[in-house]
Amino acid sequence: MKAVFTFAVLMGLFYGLTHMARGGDVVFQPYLAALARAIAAILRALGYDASAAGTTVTYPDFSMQIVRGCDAIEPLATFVAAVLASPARFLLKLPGIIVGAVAIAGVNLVRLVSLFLVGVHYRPYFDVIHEGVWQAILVGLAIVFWASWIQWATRGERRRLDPEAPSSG
Amino acid sequence: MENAADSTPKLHPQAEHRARAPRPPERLPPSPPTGIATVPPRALALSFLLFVLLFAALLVVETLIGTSYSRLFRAMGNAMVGLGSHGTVWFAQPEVGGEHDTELVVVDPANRVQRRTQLSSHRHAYLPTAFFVALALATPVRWGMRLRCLAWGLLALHVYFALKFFIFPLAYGPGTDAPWTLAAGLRSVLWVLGATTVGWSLVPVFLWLLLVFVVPARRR
Repeated sequence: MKAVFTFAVLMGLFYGLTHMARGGDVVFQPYLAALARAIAAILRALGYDASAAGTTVTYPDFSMQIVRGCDAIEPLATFVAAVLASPARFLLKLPGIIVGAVAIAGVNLVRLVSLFLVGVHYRPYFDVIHEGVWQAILVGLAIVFWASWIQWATRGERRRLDPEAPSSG
Repeated sequence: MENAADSTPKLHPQAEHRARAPRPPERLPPSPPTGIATVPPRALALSFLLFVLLFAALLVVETLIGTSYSRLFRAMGNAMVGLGSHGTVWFAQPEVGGEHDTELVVVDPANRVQRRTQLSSHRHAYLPTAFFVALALATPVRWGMRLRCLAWGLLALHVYFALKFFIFPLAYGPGTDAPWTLAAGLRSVLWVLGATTVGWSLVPVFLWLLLVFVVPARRR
């Protein structure tokens, strides 16, 4: 119960800070522009003549602006809050947070590239995939990464307490 | 002849005292981690796939029932809040369609000034419900626990929606624009829970954690 409420408090703090931060977009602009350049580069590698101008990725028939919310900060915060709230040593949490952050950033890049391709080829489905499916996938993945970290973090304790049990993580 | 009772060895008074003193309870060895810590990776991956499929299916369902759901959302709001407000609060269908399918109208009874706020039943109600249903049914636990989690979770979720209907007029009434007030705080909370990228999933995730981990652990 303490872990669940710690998670709720950490998420409340995160949203409180991000909501109160004035000019936060200025801080994120370089990261969003870098995301746009990375997406354009991947699309060019896939054979699409895409380019990035600031935070906008353009293509002859479609363009997509990378804004706050496209940065996967919220699913990342959900994952970090879940790891921090879990009862484990901090030395076990730190590598989990780093690996999870890299994984979520990677998935987010895949998300943005796929959204661009949906916008080019299946425009009517863009909104529902953008605002529904991928957001839920990111939160679901944050939960799966957290579960995977729990398995890694408790593998020693499981082997010590039940040496005959099959290793699952 | 020796008395049998006299043959019982007598303890030193201190030892006898220790023998009579209550023993501290034995510390049980810690039990090995259970639940999500022991789910095989393949089962975890399949559960995630099931979650995605269920959620996508529920989004498809929404394309069929979306209009009726919005109507139900507005009707719930009017039943919970509007009827008792003496004509000062109601949930209406906006004139212009789009993502915001509900218009909250709050009237200041003193000067009849109206304030209209656009809301979305999709973000405030349907998405959290669909997310929770997919999460509960995809969790890699026994089916009995999944269905119990689903039933209690849906009940709790709709109590949360009902609470939101009472909070909307407090947050979006006329003359509530001043910062650092209760109304401003409530608007911030509603913004997090309805307008951010994944904030709408917080309450479903919170309920899922309680019903799948905390409650069963306490029962054990």
